Amino acid sequence: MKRREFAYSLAALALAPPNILLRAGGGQQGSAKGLTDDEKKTLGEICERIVPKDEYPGAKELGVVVFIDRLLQEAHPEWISVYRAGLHSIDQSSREIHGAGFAELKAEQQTALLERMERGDPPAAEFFRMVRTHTMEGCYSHPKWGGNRDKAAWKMISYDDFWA
Amino acid sequence: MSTEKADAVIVGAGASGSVLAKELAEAGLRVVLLERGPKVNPEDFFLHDELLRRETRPRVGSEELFAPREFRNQGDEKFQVLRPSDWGYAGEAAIVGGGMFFFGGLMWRRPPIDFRMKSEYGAVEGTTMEDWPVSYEELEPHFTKAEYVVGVSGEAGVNPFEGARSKPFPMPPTPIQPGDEMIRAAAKRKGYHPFVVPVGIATKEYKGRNPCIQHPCCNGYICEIGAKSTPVSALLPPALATGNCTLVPDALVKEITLDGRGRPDGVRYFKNHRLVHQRARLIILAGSAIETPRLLLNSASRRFPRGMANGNDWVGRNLMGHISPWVWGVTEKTTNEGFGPGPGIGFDDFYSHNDGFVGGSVIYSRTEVSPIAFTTRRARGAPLWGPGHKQYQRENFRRYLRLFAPAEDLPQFENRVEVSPTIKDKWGIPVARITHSFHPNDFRVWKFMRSKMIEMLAEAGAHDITGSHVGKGGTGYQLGTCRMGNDPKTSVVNSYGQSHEVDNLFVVDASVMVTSGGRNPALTIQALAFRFADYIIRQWETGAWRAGRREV
Repeated sequence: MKRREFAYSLAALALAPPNILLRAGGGQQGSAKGLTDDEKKTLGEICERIVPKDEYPGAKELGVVVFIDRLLQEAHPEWISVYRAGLHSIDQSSREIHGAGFAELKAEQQTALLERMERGDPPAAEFFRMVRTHTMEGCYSHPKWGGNRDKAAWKMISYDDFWA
Repeated sequence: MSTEKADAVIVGAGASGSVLAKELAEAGLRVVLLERGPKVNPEDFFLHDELLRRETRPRVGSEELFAPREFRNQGDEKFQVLRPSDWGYAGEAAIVGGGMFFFGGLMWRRPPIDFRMKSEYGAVEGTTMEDWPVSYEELEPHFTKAEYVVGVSGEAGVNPFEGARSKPFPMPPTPIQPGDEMIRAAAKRKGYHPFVVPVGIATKEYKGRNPCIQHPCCNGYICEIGAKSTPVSALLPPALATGNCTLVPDALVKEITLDGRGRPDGVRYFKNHRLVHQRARLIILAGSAIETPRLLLNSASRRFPRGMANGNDWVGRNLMGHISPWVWGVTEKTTNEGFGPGPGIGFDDFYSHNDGFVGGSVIYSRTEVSPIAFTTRRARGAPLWGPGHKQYQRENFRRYLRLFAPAEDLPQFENRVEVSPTIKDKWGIPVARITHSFHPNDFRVWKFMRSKMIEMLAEAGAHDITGSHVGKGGTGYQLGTCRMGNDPKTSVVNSYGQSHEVDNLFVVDASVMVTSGGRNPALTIQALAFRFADYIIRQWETGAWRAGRREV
């Protein structure tokens, strides 16, 4: 799939109402409220590429998927359809290019796909920017919001949190 | 619904309105202080939580309190509608205490040259730059009073560019971080004159208030222990203690009302979905440089067809902000031990008389940074995610160094606030429409200050030095719009904040400023407010504004 097509398919999905997207998603058990398990799995892989595990925990281990799920359900339900469209679009691109879902790709393949998205046309690039921002917020905010489990990200950067 | 007539009704419980409330109530006037936002108890509020601050950005207070606005850079452009969360909205606060409730703390006296810009530089084409109708020397006692009433900490006698002061600071300066020391040493090597910047933060117990605990999340956060010198910690408690001041939160003012003879006699405001008429002898506007002219323009009548006190069409004109470059980098050594409050070392060596342009600015350091904000503080082109980003985050979080310059934005007649003929807020009140673009001089100041800051960071040993961008216009601080002056043809209020047209109408907020200066405005706003309050009290005691005494 060419880069422009990738971007346009994302744009089309983002504009479609959520119920159509749910059907387009192949009968997944999607609730209008939150992301499905499959969507969360794809999301977790994206987040993990943004803040990968090294000698310190990565985004998945820090609980970023829990954080974003809460952020969407409790604060920004208007973004759920955007997330859903974006995640499905990435997965679709992954299947067309590699013949497998995004979560099944190797880390390098995932990174390459995300880099292309980051440089892509506005809808794709903006969706990536949104996920990147939320991933950073999940990693580096107070654990009470769902991410930064055990304050591990704060410990990594030696952020003093004795008032928090 | 109507209420008992007050001596004075004040619109806006922020930096200036709270000064007026305290001073007038202590002088025995019965004051009603209206604030569109809620009253929040700092101790019940969220603490220093970066995520919550980002989520409530750009201001505290419910989003629905903020009407949409229209914005454009030039007269020939179409207006864009801005929502409160959009960049460029130029939002202030909607909360009892105003923007100072969560400000960064900078409390500057403006240097003497700021009050005589035209005499100093001559006229500048395309601007309405003018001398102020009040000098530094006249305002000095009010600067001192403001510093002592609200509580300012700082280092006196070190900055040779500062005006003479009649008293030292009431509190010693804030502790600074290793990065600030790097800037101080670098500035000295360059032959500049560095000093610890003055802040409205208690560095010792002050009038029953707690001293600062040096939390690193300070700028933009409400201080739950009350160490910040804000209207809530320093001005409203004494105002309310007099028993003469009634604070009404969640009160959104719609218009100024007139009596049968066409004289302003109060305001009408929405409270719990009902329209309330508050009558008062004096009407004192303190709603910010955008909301104050909006209210005046929305109070048009047969007597004031172009808006209240706007016979000369100067209401809303000369909107200014600051054109503020900032520059950051990282060093090889620790710049911050993990403490706030943040403002560090400043120097005024480029404040004025630079080559090739008018004005300038202070430059000062801020070493504090919070974890989420740091994720985007990268050199241009550096990765914003992935393994390299994560490594940079942990290697450099404590090595961050930043300089800031709140630089001069010259006043221009066509930079203005009007009211929209088409868009109304949810109360049916026409919203503000803003036109603002920078003058060529502003860009020169911006470029110059930015280059000086880059030089300074390099001298201090920083690398990955990166600077902010600049847009075509827009205001971060809002100033101007109801200029003070001696000539009623070219100003809205006199040097005491009193309308030239209506003697019981005052504008006491940042709207009155003639030029923007190169400093954060809070202390100047409050010094002016103390001056205006003095005048009102003196006039009140001589019997002005008693019913029937004076007619316009």
